[in-house]
Amino acid sequence: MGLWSTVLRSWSVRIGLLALSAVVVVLVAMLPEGVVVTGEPAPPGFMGEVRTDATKKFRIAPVPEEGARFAYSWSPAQYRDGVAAYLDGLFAGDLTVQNWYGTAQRALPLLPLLRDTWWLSFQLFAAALVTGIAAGLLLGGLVLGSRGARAFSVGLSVLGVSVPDFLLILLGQMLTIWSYRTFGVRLWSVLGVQGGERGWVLPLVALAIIPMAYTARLISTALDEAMREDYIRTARAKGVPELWVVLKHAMRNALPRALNGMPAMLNVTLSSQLVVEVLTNHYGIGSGLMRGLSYGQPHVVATIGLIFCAWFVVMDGLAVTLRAMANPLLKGGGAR
Amino acid sequence: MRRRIPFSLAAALLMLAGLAAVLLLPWFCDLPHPQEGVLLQQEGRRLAAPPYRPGQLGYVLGSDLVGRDQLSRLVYGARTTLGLALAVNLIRFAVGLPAGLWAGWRRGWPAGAVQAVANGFGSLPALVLALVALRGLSPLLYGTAGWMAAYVAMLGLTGAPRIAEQVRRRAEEILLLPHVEAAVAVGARPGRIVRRHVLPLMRGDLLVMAPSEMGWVLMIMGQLALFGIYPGGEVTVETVTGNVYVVEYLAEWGQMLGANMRFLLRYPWLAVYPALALGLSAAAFHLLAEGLRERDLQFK
Repeated sequence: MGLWSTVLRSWSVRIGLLALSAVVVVLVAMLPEGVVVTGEPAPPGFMGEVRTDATKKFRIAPVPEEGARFAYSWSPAQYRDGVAAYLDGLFAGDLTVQNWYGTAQRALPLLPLLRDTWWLSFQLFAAALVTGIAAGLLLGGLVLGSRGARAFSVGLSVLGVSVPDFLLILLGQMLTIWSYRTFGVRLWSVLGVQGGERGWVLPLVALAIIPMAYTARLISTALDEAMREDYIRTARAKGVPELWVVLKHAMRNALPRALNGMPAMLNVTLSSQLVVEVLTNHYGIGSGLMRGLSYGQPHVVATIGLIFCAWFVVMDGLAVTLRAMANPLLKGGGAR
Repeated sequence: MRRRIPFSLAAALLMLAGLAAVLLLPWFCDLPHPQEGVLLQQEGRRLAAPPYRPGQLGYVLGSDLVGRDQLSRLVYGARTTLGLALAVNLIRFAVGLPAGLWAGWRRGWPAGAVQAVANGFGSLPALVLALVALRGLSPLLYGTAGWMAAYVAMLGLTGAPRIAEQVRRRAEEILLLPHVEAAVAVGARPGRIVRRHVLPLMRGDLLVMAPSEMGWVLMIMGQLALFGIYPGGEVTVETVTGNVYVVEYLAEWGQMLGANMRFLLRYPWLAVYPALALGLSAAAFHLLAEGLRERDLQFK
């Protein structure tokens, strides 16, 4: 099977998966459309109440089920109508949204708004991906150095995968607040894009750590294996400089193996993007998803879900294409 | 040859020992009840209202908005959080392991189906899928026992396809080995082959996957909490003078983090300590997986 037929086959599989994922996303996201209020609604999650004298200690006891009464049910007919109305609006391009950033109650066209917010998210994602992969390649290459360099490389890459993104961001925000209160120096802004250039620092660093850690681990493992091959010994025996041996021979064979891990890395990075945008006030589609969920706008949630699906599939397809081009002997791409 | 313990494994075991100590603490220390609060206390000549700072009025890690001890809630919350994460993990392996073994044995359309489902789920960011599904279900179940079951089931099912795919790939590799082919040739039943030949060889991989999944589950529980999705509901505390406080009920790290994020700048201890607890626990399990993987490589 030739290179381009392999690539075309991989893309067609991914487009099929995109269609499947899109159906799942729309059906799940539009579930709230079927919710029907059948009685006096209690606030969702309300479990009961405790009345107390303010100066006395009190104990909150487990509430019996009767105390957590809800007045909702679900109507398949209403759900079906909601899904149909959403799909009509999506294909006609006339979906609207209220309560978008700073727009109060005015209904605005949804798709142009999402295009602009997606571009903001994509800029952050692309910058983090490029920065993270570049740093990961350097970090992964350190595994060929001294024992200390190797330990540093492995340690930092393991920490990058282990420490949760929300913890990094919380600590980063606490650090800049402490620095400002103690020394009058603001390391970075916690206001997101509203804080100017320094508003990009924290989200970029927090999001770049995951691709950096993934890339470093994949490259270091692949380089370790590649450096044991016979052709490396042959190249050294012929007197090829060590740097050339690593760059031209080892890295060239290690890269396709590293690209194998790209889908998992993209999945985790996109998941983290939601958290990073919400915590750092970055007004991208992650924050838009949060607003859609908070204001009970299923059509916003479904549309943003579709954008995430398409985004991931395109990135994954590009990774498979790159892998096939890096090593045309590989057949079948990432999925059969 | 002397066996060297990888540094990541040693670090992980140390952190997990600390976690075990936290789990056992209630049996050795007299901690305040995690649901016991107070709204006004005498501090010198004045009355002080919660949330109390760390170190104020004997609260080691401070208190929450209705005077419940933060240290006690973190310690008791360890049981709830780790118990839920373990339940999610069990569901993932209970569904993914048999499905992967079956697909690896049968090959053909079962293998294709497992691969397609895994890739389909993999094309959605895990957080997006869990978030959208749980928010969709929340008006119907939130606050009832069914909500916790839905929460655990959804997190379990979103990760099962990935485990099934990894098990399938490994099973297909093992089934090509000569001794397995020999067992098939002499007429051994599939169940026996899987039990006696496949699973023992897969043990190392499963030992690495289990703590790694635990780490990912803890991370996603923290991420979901930031979006307001957590097990357990809220409770209203009302004083006789009419002041009303709405607070989270369950002592669970994710819930404590998510419900108190809005107070990060004013009362940072409300959100930072649960975030640290979640983060360090997830890091410990990831380090354990890495350490077991390195130790497995040492023996090969």
